[in-house]
Amino acid sequence: MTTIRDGNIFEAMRILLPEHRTTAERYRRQRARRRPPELFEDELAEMQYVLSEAIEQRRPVRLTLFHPSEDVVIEGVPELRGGRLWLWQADGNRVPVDYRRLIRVEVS
Amino acid sequence: MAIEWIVGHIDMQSFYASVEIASNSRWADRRQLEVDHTDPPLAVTGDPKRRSGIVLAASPTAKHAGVDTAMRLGEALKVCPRLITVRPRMQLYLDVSVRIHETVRMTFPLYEPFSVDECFFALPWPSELFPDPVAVARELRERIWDQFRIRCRIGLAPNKWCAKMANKRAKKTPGGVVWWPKDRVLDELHPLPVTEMWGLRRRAEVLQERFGCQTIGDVARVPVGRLRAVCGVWGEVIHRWANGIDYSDFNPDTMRVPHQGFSNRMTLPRDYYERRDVMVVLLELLDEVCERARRAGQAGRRVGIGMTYEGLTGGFYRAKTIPQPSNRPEELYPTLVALLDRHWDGSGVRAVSVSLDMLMQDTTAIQLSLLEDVPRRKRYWQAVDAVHSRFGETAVMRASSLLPAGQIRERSQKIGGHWA
Repeated sequence: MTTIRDGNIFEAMRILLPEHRTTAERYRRQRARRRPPELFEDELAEMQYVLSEAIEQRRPVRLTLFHPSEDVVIEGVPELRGGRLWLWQADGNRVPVDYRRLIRVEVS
Repeated sequence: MAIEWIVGHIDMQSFYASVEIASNSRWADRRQLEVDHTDPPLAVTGDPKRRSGIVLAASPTAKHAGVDTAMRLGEALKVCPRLITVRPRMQLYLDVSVRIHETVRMTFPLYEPFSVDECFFALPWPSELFPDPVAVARELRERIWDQFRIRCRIGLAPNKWCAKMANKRAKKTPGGVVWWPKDRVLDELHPLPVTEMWGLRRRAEVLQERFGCQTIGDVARVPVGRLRAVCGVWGEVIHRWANGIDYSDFNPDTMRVPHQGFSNRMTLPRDYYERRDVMVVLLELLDEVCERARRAGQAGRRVGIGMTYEGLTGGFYRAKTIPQPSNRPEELYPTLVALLDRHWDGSGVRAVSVSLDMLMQDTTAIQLSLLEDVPRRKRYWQAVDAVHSRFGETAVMRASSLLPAGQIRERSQKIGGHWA
């Protein structure tokens, strides 16, 4: 334990409200949060092209979806139904795809 | 040439008042960094109906007109009838503070917060990155002005205490930056009056009366043994400071280290004379302290109670150690009440504080009891904490807080005793 004589005296004399600490912590967390990449126009156009080709030809694609903790990669055959994008996976399951989270589309 | 560290101390000018002025476009356009009186005469004041009807912060223009912090609102309006008064918005001030601190942190290798409007930084010198310490400090000052429209002053010196003292000088220096290089510190420091020594509080009077010291130079000449005999361990600190020495190092992670203790204090709107009234606020404070400990994953073995009597003079602080660490009010409350009954002399109570320290990690290992279902009580508090963090402190509260003595509803809208 530090004493007044030897320690960081300003640490002992500091006046910080608990709410200040909480605010600083929240700010740090917000800064550290992963943000989705900002895609250029031509990147978006290319994604759209690859996806629409795959839908047309019923060919499988590999989709990368942004997630705050870790990106999610899913594979399957894309399909547009009821105004939504779906992916038929190899195991026969159909999953909905949130296209707003799409950051990469590749032919698999 | 050996590399040394230059320590900087930043102090935001009239912080709460400046945030208010900066956040209102009505006043923003005509303000200038170097011209204080381009600010409107504004004061942040507590609620006029309550004890807090005092000036918390005043703009330089208001101060020039005679308004001072801690002045009663009525008095302030008398000396400055044009005074614009606003209610505090503590959360806004904390948000701005954290962002300014972040700017400082990102500019220099070392940073440490000190209060809502003050922090320290350090830079190596000489270095290619910071060839001119004063220029670098000025740039930071201008950046803070450009981004936040807050004026600040910066003191630079070989250590924290001297930086704080240099900052005092910066208040009176155009450009707002003062650097005391190592070889000039004593020349700058020693002519200053002893009352200007930061951090001494009443000890400055002792130095004047017992040792006849008028200047800091006089203090430096008093043998350390004599200072120690009168001021105890502080004698040594005073001796060092007067000689421009301070060993305080930097702790950049200071905001993240586990708490040493939790303590909450409440100033009451009137004096409380009844035991049952005091018990209501005691329990409210204990709930707050315990919740903070639980959120930090800590539990304490020593619980303390502090009372300040009417007129904010007199009172007591007593603490008691309990066998097992706890962060549950039902376990700690009986000890608090016992302390209250033993030490309270029945005087009117104006402020109450509750503390919990001797902390340790609140492990998953549970001390079971024959008399109560401890895991269930733990789950109960987890649920209460979750409700509080999602819906606010008053979403679930004790029935006793609805009694006239209860303060939680008012308090939940405040930070540090002022409106959030």
